[in-house]
Amino acid sequence: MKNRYDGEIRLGFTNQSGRTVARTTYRRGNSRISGNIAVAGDVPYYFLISTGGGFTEGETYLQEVTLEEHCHAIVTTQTPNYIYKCDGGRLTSQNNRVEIGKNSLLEYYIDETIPYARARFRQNTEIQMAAGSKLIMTDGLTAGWSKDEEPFQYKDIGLKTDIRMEGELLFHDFLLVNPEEDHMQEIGCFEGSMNFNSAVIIDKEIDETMLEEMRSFLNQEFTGSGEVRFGLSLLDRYGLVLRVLGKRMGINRRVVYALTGYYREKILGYPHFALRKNA
Amino acid sequence: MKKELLEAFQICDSTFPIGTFNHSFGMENYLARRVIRKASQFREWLESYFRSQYRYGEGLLVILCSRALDEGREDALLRYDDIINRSVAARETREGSRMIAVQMAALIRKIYGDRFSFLNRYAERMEEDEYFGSPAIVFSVFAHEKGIDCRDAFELYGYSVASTLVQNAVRSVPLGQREGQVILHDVMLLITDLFDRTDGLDEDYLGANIPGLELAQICHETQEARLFMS
Repeated sequence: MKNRYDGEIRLGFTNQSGRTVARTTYRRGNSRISGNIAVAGDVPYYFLISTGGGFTEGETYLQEVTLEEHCHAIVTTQTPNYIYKCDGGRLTSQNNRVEIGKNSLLEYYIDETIPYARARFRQNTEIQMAAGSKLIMTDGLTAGWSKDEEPFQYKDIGLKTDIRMEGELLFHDFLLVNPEEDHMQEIGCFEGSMNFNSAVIIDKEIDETMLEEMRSFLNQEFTGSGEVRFGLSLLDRYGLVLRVLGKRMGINRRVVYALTGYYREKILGYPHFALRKNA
Repeated sequence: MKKELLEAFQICDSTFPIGTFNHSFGMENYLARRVIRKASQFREWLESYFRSQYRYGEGLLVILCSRALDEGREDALLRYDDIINRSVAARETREGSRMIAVQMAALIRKIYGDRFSFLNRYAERMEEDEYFGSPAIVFSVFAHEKGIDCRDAFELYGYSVASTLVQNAVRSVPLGQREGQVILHDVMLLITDLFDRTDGLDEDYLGANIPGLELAQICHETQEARLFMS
Protein backbone atom coordinates (compact mmCIF):
# COMPACT_ATOMS: atom_id res chain seq x y z
CA MET A 1 0.00 0.00 0.00
CA LYS A 2 1.30 3.41 -0.93
CA ASN A 3 1.85 5.73 1.97
CA ARG A 4 -0.15 8.90 1.91
CA TYR A 5 2.92 11.07 2.39
CA ASP A 6 6.20 11.16 0.51
CA GLY A 7 7.90 12.40 3.62
CA GLU A 8 6.72 12.51 7.19
CA ILE A 9 8.04 13.92 10.41
CA ARG A 10 6.59 13.65 13.89
CA LEU A 11 8.56 15.51 16.48
CA GLY A 12 7.18 15.57 20.03
CA PHE A 13 8.59 17.25 23.12
CA THR A 14 7.89 16.63 26.77
CA ASN A 15 9.03 18.18 30.02
CA GLN A 16 11.23 15.78 31.96
CA SER A 17 12.06 17.07 35.45
CA GLY A 18 12.23 20.66 34.32
CA ARG A 19 14.00 20.11 31.00
CA THR A 20 12.46 19.80 27.57
CA VAL A 21 13.40 16.63 25.76
CA ALA A 22 12.31 15.13 22.46
CA ARG A 23 10.11 12.14 23.14
CA THR A 24 9.07 11.35 19.59
CA THR A 25 11.40 11.71 16.63
CA TYR A 26 9.59 9.74 13.97
CA ARG A 27 10.51 10.16 10.31
CA ARG A 28 9.64 8.38 7.13
CA GLY A 29 10.26 8.72 3.40
CA ASN A 30 12.17 11.75 2.16
CA SER A 31 12.10 13.57 5.49
CA ARG A 32 14.75 13.45 8.20
CA ILE A 33 15.30 15.02 11.58
CA SER A 34 18.73 16.13 12.75
CA GLY A 35 20.11 15.17 16.12
CA ASN A 36 19.77 17.74 18.86
CA ILE A 37 22.12 20.60 18.19
CA ALA A 38 23.44 21.84 21.46
CA VAL A 39 23.91 25.53 20.85
CA ALA A 40 20.90 26.89 22.70
CA GLY A 41 21.79 25.74 26.21
CA ASP A 42 19.18 23.38 27.60
CA VAL A 43 16.71 24.16 24.86
CA PRO A 44 16.43 21.36 22.30
CA TYR A 45 17.14 22.54 18.78
CA TYR A 46 16.26 20.37 15.78
CA PHE A 47 16.59 20.71 12.04
CA LEU A 48 13.99 19.32 9.68
CA ILE A 49 15.65 17.93 6.58
CA SER A 50 14.39 17.10 3.13
CA THR A 51 16.67 14.44 1.62
CA GLY A 52 15.60 15.00 -1.97
CA GLY A 53 16.91 18.56 -1.85
CA GLY A 54 13.44 19.67 -2.83
CA PHE A 55 9.89 18.52 -3.48
CA THR A 56 8.94 17.04 -6.83
CA GLU A 57 5.64 17.40 -8.59
CA GLY A 58 2.61 15.99 -6.83
CA GLU A 59 4.42 15.03 -3.64
CA THR A 60 2.79 15.58 -0.26
CA TYR A 61 4.68 16.06 2.99
CA LEU A 62 3.60 16.10 6.60
CA GLN A 63 5.31 17.69 9.59
CA GLU A 64 3.88 17.36 13.06
CA VAL A 65 5.46 19.22 15.93
CA THR A 66 3.98 18.78 19.39
CA LEU A 67 5.00 20.43 22.62
CA GLU A 68 3.43 19.18 25.82
CA GLU A 69 3.01 21.48 28.82
CA HIS A 70 5.93 23.61 30.06
CA CYS A 71 8.23 22.92 27.11
CA HIS A 72 10.54 25.13 25.09
CA ALA A 73 11.91 23.93 21.77
CA ILE A 74 13.46 25.34 18.63
CA VAL A 75 12.57 23.73 15.32
CA THR A 76 13.81 24.92 11.96
CA THR A 77 14.08 23.75 8.39
CA GLN A 78 17.64 23.05 7.32
CA THR A 79 17.40 24.80 3.99
CA PRO A 80 14.89 26.78 2.00
CA ASN A 81 12.12 24.66 0.60
CA TYR A 82 12.82 24.06 -3.10
CA ILE A 83 9.76 23.19 -5.15
CA TYR A 84 10.51 21.60 -8.50
CA LYS A 85 8.61 22.17 -11.74
CA CYS A 86 5.08 20.79 -12.05
CA ASP A 87 4.79 20.26 -15.78
CA GLY A 88 1.96 17.80 -15.31
CA GLY A 89 -0.02 20.57 -13.58
CA ARG A 90 -0.22 18.62 -10.31
CA LEU A 91 0.10 20.46 -7.03
CA THR A 92 2.91 19.75 -4.56
CA SER A 93 1.99 20.24 -0.92
CA GLN A 94 3.23 20.33 2.60
CA ASN A 95 1.04 20.11 5.70
CA ASN A 96 2.37 21.31 9.02
CA ARG A 97 0.46 20.51 12.19
CA VAL A 98 1.67 22.12 15.36
CA GLU A 99 0.40 21.83 18.90
CA ILE A 100 1.79 23.92 21.72
CA GLY A 101 0.80 22.87 25.21
CA LYS A 102 0.10 25.05 28.23
CA ASN A 103 2.86 27.55 29.07
CA SER A 104 5.13 26.23 26.34
CA LEU A 105 7.16 28.16 23.81
CA LEU A 106 7.88 26.99 20.28
CA GLU A 107 10.39 28.77 18.08
CA TYR A 108 9.49 27.62 14.59
CA TYR A 109 11.79 29.01 11.94
CA ILE A 110 10.56 27.89 8.53
CA ASP A 111 12.87 28.98 5.72
CA GLU A 112 11.74 30.54 2.49
CA THR A 113 9.92 28.64 -0.20
CA ILE A 114 11.90 28.81 -3.44
CA PRO A 115 9.80 27.57 -6.36
CA TYR A 116 11.43 26.55 -9.63
CA ALA A 117 9.95 27.61 -12.94
CA ARG A 118 6.44 26.16 -13.44
CA ALA A 119 6.20 24.92 -9.85
CA ARG A 120 2.83 24.74 -8.06
CA PHE A 121 2.73 24.51 -4.27
CA ARG A 122 0.56 24.79 -1.17
CA GLN A 123 1.89 24.93 2.36
CA ASN A 124 -0.84 24.57 4.98
CA THR A 125 0.18 25.17 8.56
CA GLU A 126 -2.23 24.70 11.44
CA ILE A 127 -1.11 25.77 14.87
CA GLN A 128 -3.11 25.03 18.01
CA MET A 129 -1.97 26.84 21.11
CA ALA A 130 -3.02 26.20 24.70
CA ALA A 131 -3.41 28.84 27.40
CA GLY A 132 -0.21 30.66 28.31
CA SER A 133 1.74 29.29 25.36
CA LYS A 134 3.89 31.37 23.04
CA LEU A 135 5.02 31.11 19.44
CA ILE A 136 7.73 32.60 17.26
CA MET A 137 7.27 31.67 13.62
CA THR A 138 8.98 32.72 10.41
CA ASP A 139 8.23 32.06 6.78
CA GLY A 140 8.93 33.46 3.34
CA LEU A 141 8.71 33.29 -0.43
CA THR A 142 11.26 34.31 -3.03
CA ALA A 143 11.14 35.20 -6.73
CA GLY A 144 12.07 31.56 -7.29
CA TRP A 145 14.68 29.86 -9.40
CA SER A 146 14.86 29.30 -13.13
CA LYS A 147 17.60 28.43 -15.62
CA ASP A 148 17.37 31.76 -17.38
CA GLU A 149 17.50 33.55 -14.00
CA GLU A 150 14.28 35.37 -14.71
CA PRO A 151 12.23 35.98 -11.54
CA PHE A 152 8.70 34.67 -10.89
CA GLN A 153 8.62 31.86 -13.43
CA TYR A 154 6.53 29.69 -11.15
CA LYS A 155 2.78 29.09 -11.18
CA ASP A 156 0.43 29.32 -8.19
CA ILE A 157 1.99 29.26 -4.74
CA GLY A 158 -0.03 29.48 -1.54
CA LEU A 159 1.37 29.65 1.98
CA LYS A 160 -1.40 29.46 4.54
CA THR A 161 -1.07 29.51 8.32
CA ASP A 162 -3.93 29.33 10.79
CA ILE A 163 -3.08 30.09 14.39
CA ARG A 164 -5.59 29.33 17.13
CA MET A 165 -5.35 29.82 20.85
CA GLU A 166 -7.74 27.78 22.98
CA GLY A 167 -9.78 27.25 19.83
CA GLU A 168 -10.05 30.92 18.93
CA LEU A 169 -8.71 31.89 15.51
CA LEU A 170 -6.03 34.53 16.05
CA PHE A 171 -4.52 34.77 12.60
CA HIS A 172 -5.44 33.42 9.19
CA ASP A 173 -2.35 34.23 7.18
CA PHE A 174 -2.67 33.39 3.52
CA LEU A 175 -0.16 34.48 0.92
CA LEU A 176 -1.39 33.46 -2.52
CA VAL A 177 0.36 34.48 -5.70
CA ASN A 178 0.08 33.32 -9.25
CA PRO A 179 2.52 34.94 -11.67
CA GLU A 180 0.29 33.83 -14.53
CA GLU A 181 -2.39 36.22 -13.24
CA ASP A 182 -0.69 38.63 -10.85
CA HIS A 183 1.71 41.25 -12.10
CA MET A 184 4.46 40.20 -9.72
CA GLN A 185 6.83 43.13 -10.10
CA GLU A 186 4.16 45.80 -10.13
CA ILE A 187 2.62 47.91 -7.38
CA GLY A 188 0.82 45.76 -4.82
CA CYS A 189 2.75 42.55 -5.33
CA PHE A 190 6.55 42.26 -4.94
CA GLU A 191 7.12 45.77 -6.31
CA GLY A 192 10.61 45.11 -7.61
CA SER A 193 11.67 43.11 -4.55
CA MET A 194 12.80 39.52 -4.93
CA ASN A 195 12.17 38.29 -1.41
CA PHE A 196 9.25 38.33 0.97
CA ASN A 197 9.66 37.29 4.58
CA SER A 198 7.33 37.21 7.52
CA ALA A 199 7.49 36.69 11.26
CA VAL A 200 4.63 36.20 13.67
CA ILE A 201 4.91 36.32 17.44
CA ILE A 202 2.03 35.14 19.60
CA ASP A 203 2.13 36.01 23.27
CA LYS A 204 -0.72 37.32 25.42
CA GLU A 205 1.58 39.98 26.86
CA ILE A 206 2.13 41.71 23.53
CA ASP A 207 0.62 45.17 23.49
CA GLU A 208 0.98 48.58 21.89
CA THR A 209 3.95 49.52 24.08
CA MET A 210 5.88 46.38 23.21
CA LEU A 211 5.07 46.90 19.53
CA GLU A 212 6.41 50.47 19.68
CA GLU A 213 9.56 49.27 21.40
CA MET A 214 10.24 46.68 18.69
CA ARG A 215 9.34 49.11 15.95
CA SER A 216 11.83 51.72 17.11
CA PHE A 217 14.49 49.04 17.55
CA LEU A 218 14.03 47.83 13.96
CA ASN A 219 13.86 51.37 12.60
CA GLN A 220 17.15 52.22 14.28
CA GLU A 221 18.81 49.11 12.93
CA PHE A 222 17.60 49.19 9.37
CA THR A 223 16.16 52.51 8.27
CA GLY A 224 17.99 54.06 5.37
CA SER A 225 19.43 50.80 4.06
CA GLY A 226 17.27 51.30 0.97
CA GLU A 227 17.32 47.60 0.16
CA VAL A 228 14.55 46.53 2.43
CA ARG A 229 11.12 47.70 3.53
CA PHE A 230 9.28 46.32 6.51
CA GLY A 231 6.32 46.95 8.77
CA LEU A 232 5.00 45.70 12.10
CA SER A 233 1.35 45.54 13.10
CA LEU A 234 -0.65 44.25 16.04
CA LEU A 235 -3.09 41.42 15.61
CA ASP A 236 -6.51 41.91 17.10
CA ARG A 237 -5.48 39.70 19.99
CA TYR A 238 -2.25 38.36 21.43
CA GLY A 239 0.28 38.95 18.75
CA LEU A 240 2.14 40.88 16.15
CA VAL A 241 3.20 40.43 12.56
CA LEU A 242 6.32 41.56 10.72
CA ARG A 243 6.36 41.73 6.92
CA VAL A 244 9.54 42.31 4.95
CA LEU A 245 10.10 42.97 1.24
CA GLY A 246 13.66 43.26 -0.02
CA LYS A 247 16.07 42.71 -2.85
CA ARG A 248 18.16 40.02 -1.16
CA MET A 249 17.38 37.10 1.11
CA GLY A 250 20.21 38.04 3.47
CA ILE A 251 18.94 41.47 4.37
CA ASN A 252 15.38 40.21 4.80
CA ARG A 253 16.60 37.53 7.18
CA ARG A 254 18.57 40.05 9.16
CA VAL A 255 15.39 42.06 9.76
CA VAL A 256 13.41 38.95 10.71
CA TYR A 257 16.07 37.62 13.09
CA ALA A 258 16.61 41.07 14.58
CA LEU A 259 12.94 41.04 15.60
CA THR A 260 12.80 37.45 16.81
CA GLY A 261 16.14 37.87 18.61
CA TYR A 262 14.95 41.05 20.29
CA TYR A 263 11.80 39.34 21.46
CA ARG A 264 13.47 36.18 22.82
CA GLU A 265 16.42 37.99 24.40
CA LYS A 266 15.20 41.43 25.47
CA ILE A 267 11.61 40.52 26.28
CA LEU A 268 11.70 36.88 27.30
CA GLY A 269 15.24 37.09 28.68
CA TYR A 270 16.76 34.03 26.98
CA PRO A 271 20.48 34.02 26.27
CA HIS A 272 21.63 34.71 22.73
CA PHE A 273 22.27 31.78 20.44
CA ALA A 274 23.20 31.72 16.79
CA LEU A 275 20.55 30.23 14.61
CA ARG A 276 22.59 28.35 12.05
CA LYS A 277 21.41 30.32 9.08
CA ASN A 278 23.02 32.57 6.54
CA ALA A 279 21.88 36.10 7.05
CA MET B 1 -34.55 49.01 -13.76
CA LYS B 2 -35.72 46.87 -10.92
CA LYS B 3 -36.52 49.03 -7.88
CA GLU B 4 -34.52 46.62 -5.70
CA LEU B 5 -31.36 47.14 -7.74
CA LEU B 6 -31.64 50.87 -7.20
CA GLU B 7 -32.17 50.31 -3.49
CA ALA B 8 -29.05 48.16 -3.30
CA PHE B 9 -27.11 50.75 -5.26
CA GLN B 10 -28.17 53.45 -2.81
CA ILE B 11 -26.71 51.54 0.13
CA CYS B 12 -23.25 51.39 -1.39
CA ASP B 13 -23.43 54.62 -3.40
CA SER B 14 -20.17 56.49 -3.12
CA THR B 15 -22.02 59.82 -3.24
CA PHE B 16 -22.87 59.06 0.39
CA PRO B 17 -19.77 57.21 1.43
CA ILE B 18 -20.53 56.14 5.04
CA GLY B 19 -16.97 56.63 6.12
CA THR B 20 -15.35 54.86 3.18
CA PHE B 21 -13.79 58.13 2.02
CA ASN B 22 -11.68 58.19 5.15
CA HIS B 23 -9.85 55.05 4.09
CA SER B 24 -7.48 54.56 1.20
CA PHE B 25 -6.54 50.95 1.99
CA GLY B 26 -2.85 51.60 1.66
CA MET B 27 -2.90 53.85 -1.39
CA GLU B 28 -1.81 56.83 0.69
CA ASN B 29 1.38 55.04 1.62
CA TYR B 30 2.26 54.80 -2.07
CA LEU B 31 1.47 58.50 -2.47
CA ALA B 32 3.76 59.38 0.44
CA ARG B 33 6.56 57.24 -1.01
CA ARG B 34 5.97 58.82 -4.43
CA VAL B 35 5.35 55.41 -5.96
CA ILE B 36 1.95 56.60 -7.14
CA ARG B 37 2.34 60.01 -8.80
CA LYS B 38 0.16 59.74 -11.89
CA ALA B 39 -2.81 57.98 -13.45
CA SER B 40 -0.94 54.94 -14.82
CA GLN B 41 0.53 54.14 -11.41
CA PHE B 42 -2.79 54.58 -9.65
CA ARG B 43 -4.35 52.24 -12.21
CA GLU B 44 -1.64 49.64 -11.51
CA TRP B 45 -2.35 49.81 -7.78
CA LEU B 46 -6.14 49.71 -8.18
CA GLU B 47 -6.07 46.72 -10.54
CA SER B 48 -3.66 44.91 -8.27
CA TYR B 49 -5.99 45.56 -5.34
CA PHE B 50 -8.94 44.14 -7.26
CA ARG B 51 -7.11 41.10 -8.63
CA SER B 52 -6.10 39.93 -5.17
CA GLN B 53 -7.27 41.65 -2.02
CA TYR B 54 -10.73 42.48 -3.33
CA ARG B 55 -11.12 39.20 -5.20
CA TYR B 56 -10.28 36.93 -2.26
CA GLY B 57 -11.61 39.33 0.36
CA GLU B 58 -14.82 41.29 -0.07
CA GLY B 59 -15.52 39.92 -3.55
CA LEU B 60 -15.39 36.27 -2.55
CA LEU B 61 -17.28 37.15 0.64
CA VAL B 62 -20.19 38.58 -1.35
CA ILE B 63 -20.33 35.37 -3.41
CA LEU B 64 -20.05 33.03 -0.41
CA CYS B 65 -22.61 34.99 1.61
CA SER B 66 -25.04 35.11 -1.27
CA ARG B 67 -24.77 31.34 -1.80
CA ALA B 68 -25.05 30.61 1.92
CA LEU B 69 -28.13 32.81 2.31
CA ASP B 70 -29.78 31.19 -0.73
CA GLU B 71 -29.31 27.86 1.00
CA GLY B 72 -30.46 29.08 4.41
CA ARG B 73 -27.01 28.67 6.00
CA GLU B 74 -26.90 31.97 7.87
CA ASP B 75 -24.42 30.73 10.43
CA ALA B 76 -21.77 30.38 7.72
CA LEU B 77 -21.69 34.19 7.56
CA LEU B 78 -20.47 34.37 11.13
CA ARG B 79 -17.62 32.00 10.29
CA TYR B 80 -16.72 34.14 7.27
CA ASP B 81 -16.71 37.20 9.52
CA ASP B 82 -14.12 35.52 11.69
CA ILE B 83 -11.93 34.27 8.84
CA ILE B 84 -11.92 37.53 6.92
CA ASN B 85 -11.04 39.69 9.87
CA ARG B 86 -8.38 37.34 11.18
CA SER B 87 -6.74 37.39 7.79
CA VAL B 88 -5.94 41.09 7.83
CA ALA B 89 -2.48 41.72 9.27
CA ALA B 90 -2.75 45.51 9.09
CA ARG B 91 -4.56 46.76 12.14
CA GLU B 92 -5.81 50.00 10.57
CA THR B 93 -7.28 48.19 7.59
CA ARG B 94 -9.10 45.81 9.90
CA GLU B 95 -10.49 48.63 12.01
CA GLY B 96 -11.38 50.69 8.94
CA SER B 97 -13.50 47.86 7.53
CA ARG B 98 -15.20 47.41 10.84
CA MET B 99 -16.14 51.06 11.02
CA ILE B 100 -17.63 50.96 7.53
CA ALA B 101 -19.60 47.81 8.43
CA VAL B 102 -21.11 49.47 11.49
CA GLN B 103 -22.01 52.58 9.48
CA MET B 104 -23.54 50.57 6.66
CA ALA B 105 -25.68 48.51 9.02
CA ALA B 106 -26.82 51.70 10.78
CA LEU B 107 -27.75 53.26 7.44
CA ILE B 108 -29.82 50.26 6.36
CA ARG B 109 -31.62 50.18 9.69
CA LYS B 110 -32.27 53.92 9.51
CA ILE B 111 -34.00 53.52 6.15
CA TYR B 112 -35.65 50.11 6.54
CA GLY B 113 -36.12 49.81 10.27
CA ASP B 114 -35.59 46.47 11.95
CA ARG B 115 -37.24 44.28 9.35
CA PHE B 116 -34.15 42.23 8.45
CA SER B 117 -33.72 39.88 11.37
CA PHE B 118 -30.28 38.49 10.54
CA LEU B 119 -28.93 41.98 9.94
CA ASN B 120 -30.24 43.06 13.34
CA ARG B 121 -28.52 40.17 14.99
CA TYR B 122 -25.25 40.82 13.16
CA ALA B 123 -25.33 44.57 13.86
CA GLU B 124 -26.04 44.06 17.55
CA ARG B 125 -23.23 41.57 17.87
CA MET B 126 -20.84 43.89 16.09
CA GLU B 127 -21.67 46.51 18.66
CA GLU B 128 -21.10 44.04 21.47
CA ASP B 129 -17.74 43.11 19.90
CA GLU B 130 -18.85 39.54 19.52
CA TYR B 131 -18.40 39.77 15.77
CA PHE B 132 -15.86 41.90 14.11
CA GLY B 133 -17.97 43.21 11.27
CA SER B 134 -17.46 43.31 7.55
CA PRO B 135 -19.18 45.71 5.15
CA ALA B 136 -19.30 43.02 2.45
CA ILE B 137 -21.29 40.78 4.78
CA VAL B 138 -23.69 43.59 5.71
CA PHE B 139 -24.18 44.44 2.06
CA SER B 140 -24.69 40.80 1.06
CA VAL B 141 -27.40 40.35 3.66
CA PHE B 142 -29.22 43.43 2.42
CA ALA B 143 -28.81 42.45 -1.24
CA HIS B 144 -30.18 39.02 -0.45
CA GLU B 145 -33.22 40.52 1.30
CA LYS B 146 -33.82 42.59 -1.80
CA GLY B 147 -33.60 39.59 -4.10
CA ILE B 148 -30.43 40.80 -5.86
CA ASP B 149 -28.59 37.89 -7.46
CA CYS B 150 -25.03 36.99 -6.68
CA ARG B 151 -23.44 38.46 -9.81
CA ASP B 152 -25.29 41.77 -9.47
CA ALA B 153 -24.33 42.03 -5.80
CA PHE B 154 -20.67 41.29 -6.61
CA GLU B 155 -20.57 43.87 -9.38
CA LEU B 156 -22.49 46.54 -7.48
CA TYR B 157 -20.32 46.19 -4.42
CA GLY B 158 -17.13 46.11 -6.49
CA TYR B 159 -18.23 49.19 -8.38
CA SER B 160 -18.88 51.08 -5.17
CA VAL B 161 -15.42 50.22 -3.79
CA ALA B 162 -13.75 51.16 -7.08
CA SER B 163 -15.61 54.42 -7.46
CA THR B 164 -14.76 55.49 -3.90
CA LEU B 165 -11.08 54.73 -4.44
CA VAL B 166 -11.07 56.56 -7.79
CA GLN B 167 -12.70 59.60 -6.19
CA ASN B 168 -10.05 59.50 -3.44
CA ALA B 169 -7.37 59.38 -6.12
CA VAL B 170 -8.89 62.27 -8.08
CA ARG B 171 -8.45 64.40 -4.96
CA SER B 172 -5.13 63.09 -3.72
CA VAL B 173 -2.90 61.85 -6.58
CA PRO B 174 -4.35 64.00 -8.18
CA LEU B 175 -6.00 62.70 -11.34
CA GLY B 176 -8.22 64.49 -13.83
CA GLN B 177 -11.91 63.66 -13.48
CA ARG B 178 -11.99 62.13 -16.95
CA GLU B 179 -8.82 60.11 -16.39
CA GLY B 180 -10.43 58.78 -13.23
CA GLN B 181 -13.60 57.84 -15.11
CA VAL B 182 -11.66 55.96 -17.78
CA ILE B 183 -9.86 53.95 -15.08
CA LEU B 184 -13.14 53.29 -13.28
CA HIS B 185 -14.69 52.02 -16.49
CA ASP B 186 -11.80 49.63 -17.12
CA VAL B 187 -11.98 48.37 -13.55
CA MET B 188 -15.71 47.70 -14.04
CA LEU B 189 -14.78 45.33 -16.86
CA LEU B 190 -12.15 43.73 -14.62
CA ILE B 191 -14.78 43.23 -11.90
CA THR B 192 -17.10 41.48 -14.35
CA ASP B 193 -14.28 39.18 -15.40
CA LEU B 194 -13.29 38.56 -11.77
CA PHE B 195 -16.76 37.32 -10.96
CA ASP B 196 -16.46 34.58 -13.57
CA ARG B 197 -13.08 33.53 -12.19
CA THR B 198 -14.09 33.73 -8.54
CA ASP B 199 -17.57 32.22 -8.47
CA GLY B 200 -17.13 28.58 -7.47
CA LEU B 201 -14.10 29.11 -5.22
CA ASP B 202 -14.74 27.89 -1.69
CA GLU B 203 -13.98 29.51 1.66
CA ASP B 204 -10.46 28.08 1.64
CA TYR B 205 -9.50 31.02 -0.56
CA LEU B 206 -10.96 33.64 1.74
CA GLY B 207 -8.52 36.29 2.89
CA ALA B 208 -5.67 35.52 0.50
CA ASN B 209 -3.35 38.45 0.01
CA ILE B 210 -0.22 39.67 -1.77
CA PRO B 211 2.78 41.24 -0.04
CA GLY B 212 3.01 44.78 -1.40
CA LEU B 213 -0.57 45.82 -0.68
CA GLU B 214 -0.38 44.46 2.81
CA LEU B 215 2.96 46.06 3.63
CA ALA B 216 1.71 49.46 2.40
CA GLN B 217 -1.36 49.11 4.65
CA ILE B 218 0.84 48.21 7.62
CA CYS B 219 3.25 51.08 6.97
CA HIS B 220 0.44 53.62 6.71
CA GLU B 221 -0.04 53.23 10.47
CA THR B 222 3.17 55.06 11.23
CA GLN B 223 3.15 57.49 8.33
CA GLU B 224 3.62 61.09 9.40
CA ALA B 225 1.55 63.11 6.94
CA ARG B 226 -1.86 61.58 6.37
CA LEU B 227 -5.12 62.47 4.67
CA PHE B 228 -6.77 59.10 5.26
CA MET B 229 -7.40 56.96 8.31
CA SER B 230 -6.05 53.80 6.67
